[in-house]
Amino acid sequence: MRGPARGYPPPVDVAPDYLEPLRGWRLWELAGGRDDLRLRSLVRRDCRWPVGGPLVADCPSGRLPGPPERHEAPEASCWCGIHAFSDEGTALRTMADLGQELDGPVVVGTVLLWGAVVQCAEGLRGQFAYPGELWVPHLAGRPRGRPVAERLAAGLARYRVPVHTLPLESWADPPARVPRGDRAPLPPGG
Amino acid sequence: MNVGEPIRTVVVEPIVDPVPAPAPAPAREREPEPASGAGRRS
Repeated sequence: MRGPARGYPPPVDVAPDYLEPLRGWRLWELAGGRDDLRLRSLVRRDCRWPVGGPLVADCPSGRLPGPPERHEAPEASCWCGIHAFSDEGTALRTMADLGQELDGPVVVGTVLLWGAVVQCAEGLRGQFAYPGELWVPHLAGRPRGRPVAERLAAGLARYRVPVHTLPLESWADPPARVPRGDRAPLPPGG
Repeated sequence: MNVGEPIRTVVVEPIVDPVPAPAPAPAREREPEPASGAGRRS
């Protein structure tokens, strides 16, 4: 066993509940240019997802004015941790809403979570995270949509996970599921 | 992203590293073999 990840000890010294990462769905913005394209969190926009290593959660509450209440993330009683939806359809509907609002591209995909994970009513909050599979949506009727999405998808290949483009008829009518095609099914765990 | 009320905290310790391994370094070109007889003591 190589441990929970290269160089990352388990968060607590107890028997694990799961031996595979939990899988959820989430959204990202993009940051950087052609040679250093990175996934960026939508809420914490200073958070660029590392390539080749996990994103490690921390709690920003310790940075706020007032008495420090630092704690390990995720803490069940806080809102901290790396968030993911349980439901693919929820992620796709949120993607469609954001696609109309954001001036930059949005990416939807699966995320693998491990370490301490808070299971919530509609999703997960994890300690360690890495993207699992990514889709770059684009409006099928827009002439430059597909080539731009393909260029972005190529840039995201640096994460070394499957990356696809996702043609949409409109932002208002997102699919309930991403197309699976003849690819192998996604691994379980979410 | 609102994921709702917490239910429970679990510990997930993957057997296999979830982070894909880095791409292997490109193989270095092999040095050319010495010509037949090269380096042979006479």
